[in-house]
Amino acid sequence: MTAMAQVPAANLRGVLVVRGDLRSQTGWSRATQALVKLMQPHFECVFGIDLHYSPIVSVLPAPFRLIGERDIDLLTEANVKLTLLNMCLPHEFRFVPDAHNIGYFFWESDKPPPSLGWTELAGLMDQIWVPTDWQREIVADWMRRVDRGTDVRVVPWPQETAEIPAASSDWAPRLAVHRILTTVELEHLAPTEEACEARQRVPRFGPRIAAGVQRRRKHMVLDGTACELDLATPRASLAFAVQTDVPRKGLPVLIAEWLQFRSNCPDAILLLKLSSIDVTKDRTTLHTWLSRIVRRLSASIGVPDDGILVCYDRLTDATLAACYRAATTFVSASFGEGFGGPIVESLIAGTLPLMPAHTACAGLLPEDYPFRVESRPVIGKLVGELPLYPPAGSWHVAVEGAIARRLSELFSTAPEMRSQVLRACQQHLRDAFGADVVAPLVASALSALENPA
Amino acid sequence: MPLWLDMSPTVVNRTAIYHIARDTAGHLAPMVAGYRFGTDVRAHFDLTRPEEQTIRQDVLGKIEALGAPRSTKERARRLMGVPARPQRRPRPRMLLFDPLYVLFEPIDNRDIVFVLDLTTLSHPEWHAPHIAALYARAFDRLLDSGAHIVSISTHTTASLRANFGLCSQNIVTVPLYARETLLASAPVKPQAVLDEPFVLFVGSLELRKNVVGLIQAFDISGVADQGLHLVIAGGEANDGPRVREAARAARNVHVLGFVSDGELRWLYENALAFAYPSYLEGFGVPIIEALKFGLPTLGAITGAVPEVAGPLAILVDPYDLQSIADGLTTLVENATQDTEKQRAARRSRAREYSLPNYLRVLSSTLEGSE
Repeated sequence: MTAMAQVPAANLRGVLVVRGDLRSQTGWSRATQALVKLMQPHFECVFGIDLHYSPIVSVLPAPFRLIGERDIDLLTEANVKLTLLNMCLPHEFRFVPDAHNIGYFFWESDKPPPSLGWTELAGLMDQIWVPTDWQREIVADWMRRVDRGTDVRVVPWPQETAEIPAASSDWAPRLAVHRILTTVELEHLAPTEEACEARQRVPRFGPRIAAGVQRRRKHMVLDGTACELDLATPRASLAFAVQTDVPRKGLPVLIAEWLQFRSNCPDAILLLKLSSIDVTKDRTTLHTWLSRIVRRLSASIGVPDDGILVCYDRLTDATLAACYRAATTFVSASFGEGFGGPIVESLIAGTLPLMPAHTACAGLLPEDYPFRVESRPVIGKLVGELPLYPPAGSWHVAVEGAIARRLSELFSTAPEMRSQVLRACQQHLRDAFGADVVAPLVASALSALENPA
Repeated sequence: MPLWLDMSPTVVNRTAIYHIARDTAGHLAPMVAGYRFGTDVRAHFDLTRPEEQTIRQDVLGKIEALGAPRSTKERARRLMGVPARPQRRPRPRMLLFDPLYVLFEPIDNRDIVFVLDLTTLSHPEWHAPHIAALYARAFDRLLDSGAHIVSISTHTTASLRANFGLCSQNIVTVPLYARETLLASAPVKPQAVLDEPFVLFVGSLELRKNVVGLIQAFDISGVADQGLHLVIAGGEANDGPRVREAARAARNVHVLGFVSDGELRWLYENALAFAYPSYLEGFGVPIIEALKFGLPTLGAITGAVPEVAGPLAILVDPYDLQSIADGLTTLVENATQDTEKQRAARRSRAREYSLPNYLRVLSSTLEGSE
């Protein structure tokens, strides 16, 4: 019997309209699909409104029939029993009178943006669903401040955990990557010492001296060179990171910590999957940005060879899973997470994550997880941060050296011990976020909509 | 190795950095070989007023030229005397009090640069666009150079780490101090101040200081109904017109403009409480001055104020008017029941941020970075 069959339907029967990011590969889109899969049995049909269509990122087929915003009016005019799931940030919520209105959002900060009317719009919803306890507390606090008794519930992003760890596979592709700051040796023709002296004796605007050259070799540090990484080759110290260029993801901190760690572990390799949320940024722009960060930090920390391989390609799920599997750890220095999807991906692939435990991602790992990284709150706006984030909100920055220390500890931990820790993490994931655990929460929330206390 | 001090900030502004640069120069004199103003180097810095004015025009002209369009870059370079390529000749180490001035001459990893805050990068909207653009270039140059950074608070250090990954090898935190010269002036009552109890704000009328937010929160808090006034002391800056307009629309709000040290001392000595809900402070010198005078104090949860004032200040969200208003109500309630013990605790806190402490940490930093 499947998990869904065990869940009694909330007896709503009607139409579910899902508004959100429906066709991309983002966490939002994946979470929407996973959640709607659990909601679907409670409704006669499901329609979707794709709020964030982009020809570049909306690459997946629509999971349900798409309609437009105006079609909601038609449905209400036809007296259809309507439930609206707003799977988006609160300023995009739509409130429909005479419908059940649910707002579901991921958020990384402890405060709402100062001027987008989030609390007012969220206050209109019949229920607010959030993925973790951390968000429930902060959103409930926002609601109290505007005297709204909105029902705020934890409905986690359901995870298909039944296959852990059987999902592991031996398939390991070769990955096209760039090695950052590659030192190359070049042969060039330099003037001999005699020629230099002769040149100095010639008046400034005199004839050029062409004679007297010698072959010499010199080192040049390039921003990077293209190469391949064979994921099938076993490596003792490979760390994997999935990063975007948004400031809260803390890439410079990760690089600094990596370089500190690598000064003691010169064979270690960091495989960095880097992308930008700005679709106009190409890989050259990203590469220039990254290599400048690495160049600055490696000079100041004094690590000449950084051991960083970066991949800018969009990877399939299978290739991404192979990257996780090939690595000993998934590492991140993120300052705030709305959920922490890569941690889940990492655990499902059988790789231990290593990152500061804060905001929503704190709950993804067991309390006694030995590779938690200590972090401290920093209140304020980051350089280049999206204007969406509250300027008085908190970010959580890893304590200096903490990630480097944890990397050393993790790499020196015996494989049997790592496997034991991994199994505990996977069990925690099943217990807290498994689809069979979330399904009753969904049913209960939908029942409460029909029969409010 | 000989040390030069970049004194350019002392001729172009009168904010905290002016006092820091002058105090530092005064106390480090035995180890200083020269003082740079823009690109001119002199053996002394005790400038007379007319000479200071000349240098001021020169430095401002050079800053202006730095922001000139590309077509006039050469002209700017000639004006500044900056060589087209980094100088190869050995030069003394340079201590700069503001990152902006790294644009004047090449710097390298022997130099030391003060970073007060990152607001020109994180909140460019608070600054003139061309100044924010110059700072963006200056920070790029500073970070590429590998120069040592002196940060004035743990918050600024944490911001440098969060944004650029910098670690303790590159940054040292040297907290600022309350000016001693403030107590050297005899107190003078400003003419515009009435004989009524008042809450004090001290700071230039710039957007970053959130003076308009303070005035509006003061108005909605209702403390004016209790006969309280809000006195704002500080020089003109980019938010001056809005501040004056807000003050006109509110009750019991008085904008004094720039005040002398004697007037400032009188204000601190006679205020009921001190309110400073600035959006972001790299350190918050007025907070420490208010604590030095034992005043009940309100500050913001952002920036360095929480670490400087510690548990002795009421902290509010500066972006939330209601939060400031509630904080003001509590501040006034607390102030009316204030005890000598509480005042002593505040003074004691302020003593932790003294000029000798600052100089001791700075001197050891200079020695350690040689």
